[in-house]
Amino acid sequence: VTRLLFVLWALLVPLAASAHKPSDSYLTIRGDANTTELAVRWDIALRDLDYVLELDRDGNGLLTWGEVRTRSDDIVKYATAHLEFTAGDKTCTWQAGAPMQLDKHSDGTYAVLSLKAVCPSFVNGLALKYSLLFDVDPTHRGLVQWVAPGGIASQPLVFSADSARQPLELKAPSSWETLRQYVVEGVWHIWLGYDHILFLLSLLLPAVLVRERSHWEPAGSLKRSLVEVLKVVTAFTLAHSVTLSLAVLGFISLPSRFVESTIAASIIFAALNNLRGSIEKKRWVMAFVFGLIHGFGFASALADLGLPQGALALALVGFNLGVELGQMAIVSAFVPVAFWLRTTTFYRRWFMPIGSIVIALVALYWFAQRAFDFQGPF
Amino acid sequence: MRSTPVLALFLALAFPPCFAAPYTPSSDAEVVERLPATTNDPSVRRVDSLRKQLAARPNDAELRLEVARRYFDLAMAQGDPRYVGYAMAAIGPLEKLAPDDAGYWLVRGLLQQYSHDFNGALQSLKKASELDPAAPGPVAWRAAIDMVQARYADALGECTRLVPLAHPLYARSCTAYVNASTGHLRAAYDELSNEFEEAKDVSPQLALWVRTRLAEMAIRLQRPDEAEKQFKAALAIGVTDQFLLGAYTDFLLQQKRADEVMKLLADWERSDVLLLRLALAGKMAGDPRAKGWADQLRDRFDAALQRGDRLHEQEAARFELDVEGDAKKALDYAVRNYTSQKEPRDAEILMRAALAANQPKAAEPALAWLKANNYEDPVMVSLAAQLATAGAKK
Repeated sequence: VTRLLFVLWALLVPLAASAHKPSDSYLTIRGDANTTELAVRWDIALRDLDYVLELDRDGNGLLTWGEVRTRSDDIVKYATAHLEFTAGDKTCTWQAGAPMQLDKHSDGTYAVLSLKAVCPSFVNGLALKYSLLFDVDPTHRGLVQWVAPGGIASQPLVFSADSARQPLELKAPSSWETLRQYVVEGVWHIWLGYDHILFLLSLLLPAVLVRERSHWEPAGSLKRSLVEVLKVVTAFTLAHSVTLSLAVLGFISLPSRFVESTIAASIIFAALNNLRGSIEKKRWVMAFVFGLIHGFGFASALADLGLPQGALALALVGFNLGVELGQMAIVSAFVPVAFWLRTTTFYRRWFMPIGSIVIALVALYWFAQRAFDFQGPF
Repeated sequence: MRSTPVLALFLALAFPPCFAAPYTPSSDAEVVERLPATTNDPSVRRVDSLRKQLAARPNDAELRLEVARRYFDLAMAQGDPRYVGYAMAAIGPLEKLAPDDAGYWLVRGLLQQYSHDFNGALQSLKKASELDPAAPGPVAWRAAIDMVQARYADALGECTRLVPLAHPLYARSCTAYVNASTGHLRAAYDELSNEFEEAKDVSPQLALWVRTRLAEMAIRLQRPDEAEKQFKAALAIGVTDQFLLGAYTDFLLQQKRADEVMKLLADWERSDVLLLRLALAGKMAGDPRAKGWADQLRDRFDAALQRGDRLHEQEAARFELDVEGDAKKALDYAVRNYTSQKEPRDAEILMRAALAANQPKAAEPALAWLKANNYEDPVMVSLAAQLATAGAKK
């Protein structure tokens, strides 16, 4: 029967080449020149780990968090036995990292290992030998993003059974390059971190209007609107720059849940204020007060990127500069349009109130997620 | 600009920040992953238990080969490339352990063709035939590889070699398949239909294959009712087969029956090939799930690119052209794909992408193939005519 089956499959070959995703693991490795440490985030498919370690204890085909979590020591042991850094001719040693977590990739759930390797020195070069799963699946690949000490741009490396050992480039980028990279990251952060954009927009929506007898009327002059915008943006910028710097330099730290929830609350507050107009003259004060909190948000984003020791100031300045540039781009795109539309009923009766309500609702959703760990559908 | 506030607002609504970030499940009882080895899939369970036996007897060549074969069957049935990897690992030691085993060279050849190492595969299959001249498998697979690479004369030679080796319907359907590609579509269809009607003791797998091919021929003959009948009969056999599902759903898409596609493929998101059909159907019907399917596919093609995989280029080209609407990218994929795979489907996507990208000359290899073999398919003939008008050498 098997033989005939093969004959049959043979004729189906044209379609046979395409399929699901093959097995990959994803690594981000950051070098730190000062401590000669390597920080590793390693995502390995639970399905692959189950294949070699039999995580599915009850054999029902469903992996529960309990089944995975209780084996996390085995998982780390197995993984680190298949990843070896060598500095010169010395092997770097593994140190305990943060507890294992999970993350979703396109083909399923992955274990996320946060590991640390300590090397004697980086002077004689660095190499990585990757051997995970090659013995059971030669098509497996280790997809590495290598971030050299002092940099944040990563270099992609693909480890396969045929290229299991590769050198890791140690040349740190120039100061200008570091600054440039952080500026770019700053711009991206403000554009992709919708919460900052929404807060700013909530404050800017009424900037081209004035409140008269509990109604919004178009502002008379462009100058007046620009002054209003300038006040708000400057206050926001000053405030978040101060807390960003203080947090990054380690002077203050706040729990991230508090920070993230308050950021969401600040958006709700600013958006609802557009409906009632209680704080009309002093919007810049609101921008300043909440800007302080947003600064902590920027700080944690910057910390996630990794802070180069030795180029900390450069990173801070670059990131902040990027945030301001990104913010200016938003303002300079928004204000002319808003000013142009300000005399229309559409803007005053529809766009601003409904836009504010929508913003408030989105922020409310975030608030629920962040403050109460509410897992919504998004 | 992505910075315009209205767009930002829209984006904020469409995609609230749910950046992929690691998380810790709140309870131990939470199911975090569904493994393929579910209780209702005995074939996965069986190979799993064989693999455990193999761990205890690593030098058992028979067992090794058995494990590899079963994994390969699973890969074919489910379209899951991890099984191909497992099969490769299983046969790895056999080059030393059992170099004279024809079965080893056959499985090795299959795995090589899967990785698009067609020359290596042909050599392994030849070696398998030398060691076991009576085995039909290596011969049929060589025919199949010849078909993929559009070497029809060679394929016909292998079909003839099959005659004394297997059930007569194998050789006949092999020949009919080649003839249908080389200007004798109607005759091949009639012959194969008749022979299939009269054949006895046909295994379900062979019946499924023949019916799928007959359906495809009927489409090209513009007899959709007959095609439908064959597809339905093939599905009724009850053998899970993603290739059949792919061919049938393509037919349904051609007929704008997107709802049926989404219903039929409800549980098939795992397979890239079938996920592509879901994305196409979803787009056609304006289904709310369409975006999710497209996102998943994009992720997978990006991941394939990242790891340097070239196995999905035909699907990637279709995705770029029909889902993303990026003719340029589609053409890049289609051109590269056509350097190694020269099946009718590969030619079709190359022609469509070249037309859409307004680069008719890029389709010339496919046009040359169409003309040289007199391949009959109204869709492709019409594409060729449009390309000729647009300035390609016919």
